[in-house]
Amino acid sequence: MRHQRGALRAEIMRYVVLVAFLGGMFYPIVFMLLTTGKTNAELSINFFGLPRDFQVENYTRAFNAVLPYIGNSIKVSGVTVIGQVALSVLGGYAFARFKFPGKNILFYAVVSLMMVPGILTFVPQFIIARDLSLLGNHNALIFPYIAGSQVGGIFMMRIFFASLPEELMEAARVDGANELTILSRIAVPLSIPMIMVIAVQNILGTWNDYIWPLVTISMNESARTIPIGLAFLPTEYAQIPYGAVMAGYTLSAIPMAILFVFTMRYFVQGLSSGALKL
Amino acid sequence: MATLSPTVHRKTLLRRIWDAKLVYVMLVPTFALLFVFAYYPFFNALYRSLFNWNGVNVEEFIGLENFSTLLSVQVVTIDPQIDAATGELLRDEDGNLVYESVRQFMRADRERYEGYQSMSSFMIGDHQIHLVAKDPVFLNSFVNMIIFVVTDVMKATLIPLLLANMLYHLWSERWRYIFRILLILPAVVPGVVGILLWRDFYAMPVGGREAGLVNQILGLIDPSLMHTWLGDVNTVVPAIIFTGFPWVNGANTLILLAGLLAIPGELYDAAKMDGARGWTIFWSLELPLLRGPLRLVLVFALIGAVQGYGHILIMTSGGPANASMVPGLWLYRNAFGFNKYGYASAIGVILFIILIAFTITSQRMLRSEVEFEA
Repeated sequence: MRHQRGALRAEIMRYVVLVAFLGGMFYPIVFMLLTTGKTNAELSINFFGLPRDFQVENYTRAFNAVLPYIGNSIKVSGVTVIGQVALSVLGGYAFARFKFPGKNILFYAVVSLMMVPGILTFVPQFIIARDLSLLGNHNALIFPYIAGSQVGGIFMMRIFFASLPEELMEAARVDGANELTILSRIAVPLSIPMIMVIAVQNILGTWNDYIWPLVTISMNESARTIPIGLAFLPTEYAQIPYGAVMAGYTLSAIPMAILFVFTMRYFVQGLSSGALKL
Repeated sequence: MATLSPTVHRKTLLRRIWDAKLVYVMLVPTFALLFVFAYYPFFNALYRSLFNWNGVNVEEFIGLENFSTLLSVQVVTIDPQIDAATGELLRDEDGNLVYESVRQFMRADRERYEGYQSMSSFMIGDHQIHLVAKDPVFLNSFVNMIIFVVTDVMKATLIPLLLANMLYHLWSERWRYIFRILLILPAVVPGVVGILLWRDFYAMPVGGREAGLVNQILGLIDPSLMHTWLGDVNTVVPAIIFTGFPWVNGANTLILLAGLLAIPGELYDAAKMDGARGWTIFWSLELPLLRGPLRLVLVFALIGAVQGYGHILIMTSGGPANASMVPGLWLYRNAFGFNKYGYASAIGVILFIILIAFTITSQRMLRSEVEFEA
């Protein structure tokens, strides 16, 4: 009996700890949401509380400012993820299912890039983007993003394709299917969950990237993605209207929130499957 | 049967390449992109680190000079001045010992101290010790990096370890699931928003002074605690470390939780049979079996702390007076602020060497451990 009471106390403690830490984690977001309803004047006298007179026009102001950034980010992340998935599937399949001269060398040439940190190639990549006249243009983001993110994608897809039973492919081959048909009709449909995890991870990475777009496209205001647009948002005003700025932060979360609702499982897996990050 | 010669089976290399042409075609886009955006930049970074290069017209091979500039440091010891007439220590009106300024001291031996600047100083007895370096900002940024590596690794492991443990032992499957979703939910907010919010928490001007959330809370306790946290060379690094408090890392928590869930239930039963509970189970069962996921989380935190600087660029730009500078940001400044692309590449090479050394050691550790366990 005593022991049970101790166990119950421990269980209650777990909830207390979890709720306390999650409360701390969510507080900045709650503060952001509360501030969206306030004017600067109200903020200075009512810093913590609920907004007394909710300022809806903070959102209309922010909407006009943030909408182009959201559009740019959807375009960049969308094109990147399509390219990355396509090349990861092709490359992963090639390395998993075929024997060809130079296979091992080429494969190591790809995966060894996982050891090269972005900080090393940062400056020369910028010079290349400049010399190819990509600066100020979304191609300065999309091509390097695909080039970099396919490396991990190929690595993961190769493991996955190699794990598919050979008999499946063999049966199709006997029926006269060629390799590309086998890839598109059998291998890809079977690997949709894996592809989704890679895709969600890729989208999160490009969606949040800050430094590379800062140096390559931020000079072109109409090309700015969400992180750049938001970081420059307060500097557009002489006196920062915090309510509107926070409303902009809030609106910028909507596309990911939608993706989260529809792909929750892959979202959780993509963020928490550590092996993938390697 | 004997007519089948081995050459029928053993095709020539060219023939095998031709047969596999479809595979090579599949790999063409991959390698085309990698050549332009990965291999060429990689070798170019190593090569350009040996140049004085502004990215446009100045292009001068200087060997390892960039590296020697980055890493040159000397210790200067200045003794108190002695009165030439009496042979006693010279004192000023307040009775303090008198020292030559470090700049004057270095000027006296130009050959040795050419290009050096004072970095920091301290006293040992009556001796004034100065650290002088050719690039004091870089070396300071390196010290900051070490501080951030240590604190980031702690932030990435300790709280997630605690929360994963709480979640694992939760009785209700359903609540565990809900907490897992809640832990991931903040990922829908762009990462830059979290940083911008924290910058505002420190430095939001409300009513004409810096009264963001942090100062508002401190003001409720005692108004004298309010401070310009990001604007003071002594508080800027602790303030950046404090960012994100209480440092809940949802992804890492779930990685560690997955590790806990992979522990076979029989091990728990056996441990309980032996009378182990609570802390004993944690120390002698869970922690050792979590070594794999913990190392994973740790390695990523370390890599992130060595090369990441976006949050510092946004919060302080490395200031005030370069007090919150980190090597990555110093690379960025040298390239995009001063057009010193060769010098910036050299900083990149140094960070690359550190990261590769760390990756290899951690893999070797992993391998030797596996052998040990097997």
